Amino acid sequence: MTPIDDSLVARLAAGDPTALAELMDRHGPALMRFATHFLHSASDADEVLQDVFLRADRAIRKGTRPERLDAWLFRITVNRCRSKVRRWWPIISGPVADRAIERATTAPTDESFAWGEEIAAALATLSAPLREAFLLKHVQGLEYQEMTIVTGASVPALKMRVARACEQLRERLKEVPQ
Amino acid sequence: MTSNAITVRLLVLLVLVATMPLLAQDPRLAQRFSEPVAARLAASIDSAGHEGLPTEPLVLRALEGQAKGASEDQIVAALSRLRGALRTARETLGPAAPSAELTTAAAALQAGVPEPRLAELHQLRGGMPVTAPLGAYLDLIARGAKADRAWSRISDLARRRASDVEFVRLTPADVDRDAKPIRPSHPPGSQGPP
Amino acid sequence: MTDGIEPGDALDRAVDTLRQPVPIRPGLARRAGDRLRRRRAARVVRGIAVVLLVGLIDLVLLRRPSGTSVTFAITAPSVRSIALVGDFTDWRSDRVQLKRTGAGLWQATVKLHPGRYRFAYLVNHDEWRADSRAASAPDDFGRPTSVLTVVAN
Repeated sequence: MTPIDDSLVARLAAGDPTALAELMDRHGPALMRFATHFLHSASDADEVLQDVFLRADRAIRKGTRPERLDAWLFRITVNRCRSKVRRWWPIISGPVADRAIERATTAPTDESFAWGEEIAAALATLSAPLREAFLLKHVQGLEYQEMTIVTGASVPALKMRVARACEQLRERLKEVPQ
Repeated sequence: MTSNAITVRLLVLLVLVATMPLLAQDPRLAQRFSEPVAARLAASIDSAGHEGLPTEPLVLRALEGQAKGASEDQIVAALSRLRGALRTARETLGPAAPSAELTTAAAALQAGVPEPRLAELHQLRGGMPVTAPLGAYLDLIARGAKADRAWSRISDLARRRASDVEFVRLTPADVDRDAKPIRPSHPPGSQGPP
Repeated sequence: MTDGIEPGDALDRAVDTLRQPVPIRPGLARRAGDRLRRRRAARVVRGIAVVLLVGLIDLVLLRRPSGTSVTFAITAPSVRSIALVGDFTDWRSDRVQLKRTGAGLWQATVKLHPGRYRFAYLVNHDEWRADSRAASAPDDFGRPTSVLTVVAN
């Protein structure tokens, strides 16, 4: 763990009231990016983040000392995102993806917005395990060994998921006019 | 049962369901393992729960390991294997399969039943659980019946839409008897085929 | 099928876009604090509901079907104690002790609901033995283990 993270954990454990906000500032952005792309909803991602930091704070105050704070926070985030997807899967994969495509086709002048929506729609067609593995590997840049800690899956299973996700996304993005 | 009693039971059920998050953490792990080990196991089991896998078989496997004096690494490895088997069971039987069915299917996969056979049995059962036929199959081969013969018998019963009790009553002798080749009959005292 | 990404292709450009920062709405700490307060209040309400209905929960449990009686037996002369340990005892060895019924035979009868149960006998608190009359089960921990299926009548 980095010295800054070490110090943050120690301060949280000691009940320092400013430590949680610092933890959020330091690690929030990476977790927010993952959760937003996984859930395709900034408001859902915000709720997940609130949950993640509350759990992390409670666990550290009760004595948990993670070896790698970033990987540990990611693991909690992945688990919370999975919970949300299990409850709201039809919404993520169905109407939201369709609305994204509709917006993309009715706002042709805003190209970067349209491209962003195309990517989101493509991601939404992936199953949750594939989407999760792809985001952790290629967007977050984790190594497979780190991903086993975060997801609980084996390295071969993760490699297969990432490869399948890449294949499906390539197929999907091929249909997008360049 | 009076309508008041029915209302009371429905209310109790509602409260139980509403309080499940309060009761979510399994206290047995904390009672049997040191705090860091319990936390490590609980995280893995919790993660499996979030995947939609049944957690009770994982908790029981951890408790079994503790009772048998296994090391933490052995228990973690056992949980990882069981979790993988539960995941494959769910992928084969579908997300609506109840926990008991997934648990028996996972045991079957871990005992060496190939996944295509599990898929075939699922199809033959036409929506009925595979728990009893799979349990019967595992018991038969554990008691010495030949795997292919046992599978053939189980598949036949499944095709006939046999009840759970019919599966459980099967013995290795039934499997061997049914598998005997049909021999041409010979008058008593005469020689059989070489 | 590869897990890598070709530089310059559509997927590579998609990943570049996905790597852009996603802003967090200001006030996350305050929102988390509000959420915590709401959860605590909900817990208190649920806790009171549980306490109020504990007697009725007992009533529901008492009315559950009592399960099928299963007798476990093992022949083991010259041992001091045998515990029945398995899924139905949470693998605790202090729940079901077999009683000696004569001529080296030990027995215990347990009520079990339908299901599949792994179990074994713990002899003299340190030796694990399987049940020779039951099916054997694969074991992750190198000890003899048996398995039993109980079906609903």
